[in-house]
Amino acid sequence: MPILDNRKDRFVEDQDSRVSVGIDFPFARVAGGDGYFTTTKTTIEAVKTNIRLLLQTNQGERLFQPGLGMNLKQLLFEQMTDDLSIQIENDIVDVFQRWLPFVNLRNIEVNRRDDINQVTINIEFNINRTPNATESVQVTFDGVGDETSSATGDGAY
Amino acid sequence: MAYTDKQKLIETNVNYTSKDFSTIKADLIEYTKAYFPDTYKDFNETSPGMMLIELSSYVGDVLSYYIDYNYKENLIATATEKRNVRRLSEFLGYKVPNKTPSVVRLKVTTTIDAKADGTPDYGQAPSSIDSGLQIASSVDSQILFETTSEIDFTSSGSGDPAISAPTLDSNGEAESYTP
Repeated sequence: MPILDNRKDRFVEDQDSRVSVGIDFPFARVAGGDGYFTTTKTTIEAVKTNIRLLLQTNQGERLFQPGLGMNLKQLLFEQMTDDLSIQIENDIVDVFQRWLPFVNLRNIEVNRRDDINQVTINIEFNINRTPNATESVQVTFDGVGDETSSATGDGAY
Repeated sequence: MAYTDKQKLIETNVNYTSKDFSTIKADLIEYTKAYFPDTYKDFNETSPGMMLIELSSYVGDVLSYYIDYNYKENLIATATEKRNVRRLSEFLGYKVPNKTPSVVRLKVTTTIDAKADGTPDYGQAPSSIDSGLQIASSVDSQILFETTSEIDFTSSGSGDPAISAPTLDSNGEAESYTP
C-alpha cells in the first residue's frame, strides 16, 4: 500500500525559513530584515504572487515580452454578459497554459458588479507536484484603476 | 613583468560578450543562481523578480546598442548619418560643397501683332507674370522649376525694331532700305 506524503512543505526550499523563493508583490521594503524587498518564503506564496502579477499585467506592458499578461482592465468597460465571463475564463486558461504550465486550474469564478464597473476573479488551483493542495487567489479590478488582490489556502493537503 | 598573487587574473561570471536582451537576461539568471541561491529561486517569467531582471536586461541592451552605434558613427567607413560623415570628412580635409538647387535658363515668348508703322503692338502683350511660375521638367514631370523674378512682356528683350518704308525709284521699286 502506498504511503501518502502528507507533509505540508513538499518543496525543499520551503523547509528553511531563511531561504527565499521570490520577491513579493507589490514591492515592499523589509524593516530591519535582510535584503531590500519583502520576499516569499514558500513556493506556493511565490506562485500566488506570480498569478496576481500575471492577471494584473497588460499585454505589451512587459519589455520584450509582449504576450505576457492579460488585458483584463480593458474588459471592465465592455458589456458585462455571460459571454464576456466565459471569454475571461478562457483567456485565463490560455494564459496559464503558456506562462504557468505547472499550475493546474481547479476553478475560475468571475464575479461582476456592473454598477461600479468591478470584476472580481477568484482562481482555485494547485501545483502539479502537489495535487492535493488547493489554493486560491482573488484579484479585483475596478473602474478606478486600482487592483486589489488576496490569496488564501484551504490547507486541503 | 611579474605579477603578484593578488594581480593574477581572477575568473568572473560576468560575460562581456553578452550585449542583447536575451543573452544579458540569461547571464543575469545564471549570476543570480550562482551568487544568490538562497535569496532568489523563482525564474518564471511571471515573477516580480524576473520583471526586475528583464528591466535590467533592457537597460543593458539599450546601452549596448548606443555604445555600438556611437562607435560605428566614429568611423567614416561605417558611419551612416549624413552629419557624421560630413564632419568626419571635414576632419580629414575634405571640403563638402553646400547643396545647391538646379538652375535652368528659361525663355518665355509671346507673339503679338505689329502696328501700322511696323513697331510691336505691346497692347496685345499679356500682363506680367509674377515670380514663382512653376514649370515642369521635360525629363521628369515631378521636378518643378520656379521663376525667381517677374516676367514683363511690355519690354522686348531684343530691343524694338527700327523699321521704315523703303525709298522707291521712278519705277516703283525699292531703291534703298534703312536698317
